[in-house]
Amino acid sequence: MQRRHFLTRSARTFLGVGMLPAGEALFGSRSMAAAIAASEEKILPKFRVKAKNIIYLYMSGGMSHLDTFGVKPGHSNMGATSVIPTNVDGIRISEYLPRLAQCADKMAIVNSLTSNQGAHEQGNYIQHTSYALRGTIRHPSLGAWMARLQEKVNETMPASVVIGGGSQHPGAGFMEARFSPVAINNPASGLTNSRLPGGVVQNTFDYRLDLSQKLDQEFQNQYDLRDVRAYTSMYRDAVRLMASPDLKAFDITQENEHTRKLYGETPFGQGCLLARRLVENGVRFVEVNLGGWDTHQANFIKVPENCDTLDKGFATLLEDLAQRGLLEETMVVLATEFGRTPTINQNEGRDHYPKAFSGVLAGAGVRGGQIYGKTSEDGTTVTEGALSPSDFNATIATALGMPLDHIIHSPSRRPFTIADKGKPALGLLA
Amino acid sequence: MSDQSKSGLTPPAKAPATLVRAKFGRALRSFVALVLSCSAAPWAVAKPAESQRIDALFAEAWKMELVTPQPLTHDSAFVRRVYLDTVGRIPTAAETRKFLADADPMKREKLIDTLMASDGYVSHWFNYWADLLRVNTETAPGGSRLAQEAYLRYVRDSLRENKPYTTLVRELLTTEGKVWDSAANGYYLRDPGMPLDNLSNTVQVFLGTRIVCAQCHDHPFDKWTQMDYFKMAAFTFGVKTNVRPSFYETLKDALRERARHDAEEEMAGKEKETPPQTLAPAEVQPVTTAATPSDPKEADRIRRQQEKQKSEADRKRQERLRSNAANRFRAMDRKYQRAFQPIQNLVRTVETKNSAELPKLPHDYQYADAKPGTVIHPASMFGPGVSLEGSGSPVQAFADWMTSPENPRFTTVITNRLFKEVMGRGLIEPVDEFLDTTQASHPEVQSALDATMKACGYDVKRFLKVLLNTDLYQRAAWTQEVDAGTRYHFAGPVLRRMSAEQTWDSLLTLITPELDLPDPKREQRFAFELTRTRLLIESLGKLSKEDLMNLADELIQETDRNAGELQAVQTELVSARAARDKVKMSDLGQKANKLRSELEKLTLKKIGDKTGVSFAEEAVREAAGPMVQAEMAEFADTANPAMEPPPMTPEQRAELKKQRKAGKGDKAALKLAQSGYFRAAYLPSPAPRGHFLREFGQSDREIIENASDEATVPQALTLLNGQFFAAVVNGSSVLAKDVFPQETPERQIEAIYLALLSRTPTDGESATLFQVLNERGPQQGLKDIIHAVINGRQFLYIQ
Repeated sequence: MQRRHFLTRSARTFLGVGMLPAGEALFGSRSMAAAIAASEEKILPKFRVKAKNIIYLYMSGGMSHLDTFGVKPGHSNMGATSVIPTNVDGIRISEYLPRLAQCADKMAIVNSLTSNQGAHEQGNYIQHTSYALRGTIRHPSLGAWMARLQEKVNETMPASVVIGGGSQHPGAGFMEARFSPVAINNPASGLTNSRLPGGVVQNTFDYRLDLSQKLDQEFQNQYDLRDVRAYTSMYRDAVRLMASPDLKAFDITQENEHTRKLYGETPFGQGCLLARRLVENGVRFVEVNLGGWDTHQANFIKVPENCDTLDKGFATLLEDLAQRGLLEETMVVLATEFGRTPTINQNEGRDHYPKAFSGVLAGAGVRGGQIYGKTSEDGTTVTEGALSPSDFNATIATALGMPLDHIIHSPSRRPFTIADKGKPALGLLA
Repeated sequence: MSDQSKSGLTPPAKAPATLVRAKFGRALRSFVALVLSCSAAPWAVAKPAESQRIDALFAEAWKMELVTPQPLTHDSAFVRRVYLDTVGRIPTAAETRKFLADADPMKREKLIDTLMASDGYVSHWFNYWADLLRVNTETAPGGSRLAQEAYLRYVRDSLRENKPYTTLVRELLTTEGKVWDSAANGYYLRDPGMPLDNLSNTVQVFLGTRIVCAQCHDHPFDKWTQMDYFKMAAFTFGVKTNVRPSFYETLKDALRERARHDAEEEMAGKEKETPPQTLAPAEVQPVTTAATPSDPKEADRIRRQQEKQKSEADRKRQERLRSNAANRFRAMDRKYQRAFQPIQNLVRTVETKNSAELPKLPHDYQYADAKPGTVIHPASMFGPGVSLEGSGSPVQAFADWMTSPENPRFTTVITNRLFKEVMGRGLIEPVDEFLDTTQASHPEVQSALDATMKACGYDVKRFLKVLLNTDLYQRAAWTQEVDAGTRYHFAGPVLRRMSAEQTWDSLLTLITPELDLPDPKREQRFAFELTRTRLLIESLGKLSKEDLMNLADELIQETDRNAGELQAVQTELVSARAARDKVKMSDLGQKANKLRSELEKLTLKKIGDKTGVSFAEEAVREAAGPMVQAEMAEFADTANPAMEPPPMTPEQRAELKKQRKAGKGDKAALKLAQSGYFRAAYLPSPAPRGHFLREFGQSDREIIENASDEATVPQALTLLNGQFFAAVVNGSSVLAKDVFPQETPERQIEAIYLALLSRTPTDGESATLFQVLNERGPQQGLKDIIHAVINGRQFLYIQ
């Protein structure tokens, strides 16, 4: 306990600085971001930054590259999967992704990802943090880095949100709790506990709040300490959030039936819809999880089912963002911990395969309509444009204008950067 | 505060007059205690001399520094604090009333003793140790979940039996074997394949020293070199965390034999067709023709040469045989891996072995004192040198050195850690970054703590009792900032926010009387899984090579048949998809799912047939013990008939009745318990993301002491709108049963304050609260008050 004592203990996990005393605002995200921006003008590469937000679609379990984006038409390793053309000449993807095939012009498909982490937790970890899993430190995820290094667009919204997924997410790692993503387990029920519970009317709520403050005043006077004050300001923020029109951003029932159906009536599809609403309202990093990719058995039954969910959610998201002009400033990333063995095992499945796998970048800052990197004819080895998870993350960070050489120290004073030693693949960027 | 005396609060217990009486009573009591029970600590009930010594040392320091200590707390502040620090929750209203009404001058000492002896001690302190030892059952790497579940229970049981700290550390560092009889090996299985990280953690936890930087290069802020690091790592490097059950080796031996046999047969067959080429005339002829048989020397030479050629030919034949056999073995091994694949996850990562293997310097080692790749032998980083002679294995020598009284950091680290846990701040801060220059803020106190720990044989409970019985612990919390990096004078404990677990457990105290019981479903699942794995490994381990081969052959057939059926489904699915027949597609999907889940069951069945050990659910449960079945009946999950337990025997039913009578069977409370209201120590470690506990900063148990007490918006939202509140004011909750039946509004209000803040309201507060009841009516008013108090800072803080 209390390992993370920082200057900014009064800090807000999310929500505004406006009502805080001037002294405390000194450490607020706005001035911090400004200070960092000033110091970084020198070290930033001259690069026209187009992306502001990220929607990060994470395929948990290890998405089979051969059956999705890294197809090998005609090769026996393809098993029961065949390919279809896309709206870009020469690019073909899996038949299970018919709607995404019509979005190929917006996507840069990366078929040359490679890593040496072949177990789920380790693969998931390096993909999210750019660092190998260690027993002695937790590294921050990409969303936490963004929250730490970039200014918020909307002060009342969290900097990053994770929708769905297990308890594995590295979150803010060694950074302070306020850089942690806000977790939403079920997109349909929105932000947990942000609404009055059943049977409680606004009057009652206000009355209780008032009474609470009155009864607590003596204690707060007696213990006029930073940590105690932090709670008082946190309560203020929570109540403000509950009354804020921004809270509607978390409520997907505000969308019409047609739109909700288009995204697919699955937690992932609805999560994509929620991601769009959040980005629209100033959340800069939203991760949406889709599990079920660990197809050791019956790959050709499970993958098409999953692809159906992915296809609807991802394609609708790209079209919806484009229609609203949000794709100009939002990058959509598709990532996973590793690929799956090109050879089909005796259980009609595919096993873990970190040596070669696929991911996608789309939207803001991305040079769409291309396939980046190559694998051998049988899909087993990267032959061109190899990218490690760190390189992949360095590319994303560059598109967002986040400096790769900016060092943040852990509380144990060890130095870390956003993408470890990763190098950006500039060919992917517009 | 000014009107507290009027509100009926007990005055501070340590008035000088009572002290005199107390001292006499104390002496008598400790004498009685000694006579009555030899096992009781000599200071049972009485204020330990060690506590008095610590207070005297602080008093001395205050004199020099002109510090005025905080006054001793009122009984109400004390009772709340001591419950939170010993059993991890606020006291119930009934417990508080009992304590406040007790006129015994020794009641504080007595309460400390009672609480430290209760089950609540385990439920509370488990959280501290789980954070320190990174007990993680949820995201355990390398598939070691079962081992982590066993490790969790090992930690819990060690607290229950109050294992001496030295014994605990020794067991953690040296235990090898299988998890069902050596669950302490979870300490190593926690970091499978990461012996270097594990060592860094060991040094940080038990020696309060950070050497992790030196894992890759000389430490930039401390004196440790990478060489020091590897010498330390050499102690534990040999602990193997990837030990596979023995039947895998037996099967390999069988395969090797068969490969050899088949290779020999093949060669013999070939040699029959074409006689061996080894003594080909062409090779021998030139020698024999040139020879003169009459010359014995020459004949000898020829014979020798022939022998040489023959042995050369034999060698070549052996070589061919070996390589043939090796090729066959590899092919067979690949094939036979399939056999046990469906149960692979059930039997892996459950065993460790301590070997004497040593680490090598990494390939990029950059210092002049040794070359990359050099094998490094163990040596201690400080303190007495270590001799490996006669100590069995490197880890034994390591544990000896670690726990030796001469180790300069081992004792100080744990005493300072425990001191911080109850006082809110260590004499040495941070607690795990000791340098040669590190000095305690009060060195004499630190030495006294170390001496106490050594004198009581590293009995953690006794040590904690010494701390809890000090005046220092029983003073009012300090009211000003205590900044990191400054010297604190310890005029009183530091104000602390309740930990995530204390907050959750305290709310639970308001809801259910079933406090210190584990979740029976979790316990059963664990007992079931552990027993199944043990039976599997033991029964397979008993099979002869021949039987194992036969079994493997059958299993491969089964796997292939299953795969064949799966492929047929798949082919149908392809055409169903082409025909866009959604109904058929979904049917086929279900069929495939069934086939997949069938395979593990089938495999277990076949293994059962061959070994004579049944792996059917009931059979395994029976092997896991009768209690598991009895509890199972009570908590039978009706939604899942497959989990229905077998009928209880009359004995089991009687046992259950006995438990119910003993107050362990309140139906309503059980219902609540079923909906996840268990104390933090009996929930998954850590709780899932988004759970109340995680929102309030419970450690993710991935790195050492990773809990947080920072304020966040979701915490406020949870306390304002969370589901728990409905349970707190539900008619069957502990709080409601105490508050609502009270006869007058005064008593109702008092009951709420006693339950939530362990005190009666002041006159000023009472006036406000009466107004609430007037304005809002009795029912609504009481709920409003409960909600308002829970959402106050004073509920969340330990004064």
